[in-house]
Amino acid sequence: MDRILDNRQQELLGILPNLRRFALSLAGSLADADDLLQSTVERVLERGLPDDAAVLPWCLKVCRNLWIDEVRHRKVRRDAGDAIAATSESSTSGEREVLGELTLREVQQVMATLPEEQGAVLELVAVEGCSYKEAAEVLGIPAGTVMSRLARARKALLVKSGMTAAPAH
Amino acid sequence: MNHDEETYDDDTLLSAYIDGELPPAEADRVTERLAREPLLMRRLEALRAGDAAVRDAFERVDDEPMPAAVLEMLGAAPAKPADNVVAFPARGAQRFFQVPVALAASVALVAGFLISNVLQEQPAMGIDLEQGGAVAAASPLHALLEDGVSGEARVLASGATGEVVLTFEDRDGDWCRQVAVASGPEALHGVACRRDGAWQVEALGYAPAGHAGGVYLPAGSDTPEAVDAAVDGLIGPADPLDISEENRLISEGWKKSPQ
Repeated sequence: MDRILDNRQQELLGILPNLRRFALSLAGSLADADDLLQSTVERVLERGLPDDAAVLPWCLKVCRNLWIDEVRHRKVRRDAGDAIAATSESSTSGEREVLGELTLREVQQVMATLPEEQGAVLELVAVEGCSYKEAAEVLGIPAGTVMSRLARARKALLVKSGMTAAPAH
Repeated sequence: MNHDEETYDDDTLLSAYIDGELPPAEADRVTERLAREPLLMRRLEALRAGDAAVRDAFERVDDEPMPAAVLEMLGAAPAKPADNVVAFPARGAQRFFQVPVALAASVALVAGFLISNVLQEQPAMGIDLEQGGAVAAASPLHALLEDGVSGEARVLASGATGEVVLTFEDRDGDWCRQVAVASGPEALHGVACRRDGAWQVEALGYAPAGHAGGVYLPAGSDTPEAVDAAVDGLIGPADPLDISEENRLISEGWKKSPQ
């Protein structure tokens, strides 16, 4: 194959895994995340990228905006979240001895119950290594809000997954 | 005393501490408290374990094949069965600003081989040392040399983070750029000069990458000696370029200044 990808396409290819994980943090299932990923790439190719835009943050923003449209349109996430919330207590109760052994499904279940895009904040910072400023920009919220949502997300993750005892006091 | 509020504050503090987002004085106070308060330390470890679990879980997604429709839109052939044409880096390889180039690839580069990237036949850094260190036009490093602006880190197509450190004119009137690429705790530094319309690598070396907020940055505190020496040997009488001069050269396609 002799097709040469232009730089932007190459860059897009390079960030697909990051974009897909972020889509998963929003969508909650891999099938929905892959649909969202496809819509995001379509949108970026269709509308183009400003020359001075960094590819990944730009695409994350597009992805998040598309997801918000989707949620407003279908309220998919709320329904999915409610369904999962009803089952997650029983499936993850009890303290775990082995940390770091949560399955993707368990993490998704917990994240799906987190309000206010806390799951997306956690994914951006803990998985993608974004600074608070970068995460704030992607999500269109102040950095201080990133900080407080992240703390709540981390706390909720520990409580809901049964990974640890109550906070120090 | 309101325990809930105190706990909430501690979780927020610890959370920002983990991410390196506290002002230095506050971070120092947390460090001191951690040394004296075993329960606080235990909480920090639990929060970190939670992060690690989330990372592990998310990175498992990387093992799932990318949707073929997405790859096709980007002009990349989806993997045929038994022929993994587009292989993405193993789980955990890609991070926002911290994306390891395969260590083997870095070693190969220093050993002087043309290294191949995970993306088909594109060389990862595209430096062919057998061709006198020419930087291939299709390589991510070429894009960084062509239109990177000093001090602005960017994610390269290879997934590593690259940054231009310095731009200067050498004694022959050719433009040269010092760049750094980080993919983990070690950053690859190099100097390349534009000779007859192509970027030629003059020197390469490794130094510890910078580190901030839990991520690796290409420009750390150290520059490898070989690279420093190369810059000293190359640089002409003029001062290194400022950003507006760099931008002018980028827009003009690196035209040589009249001698």
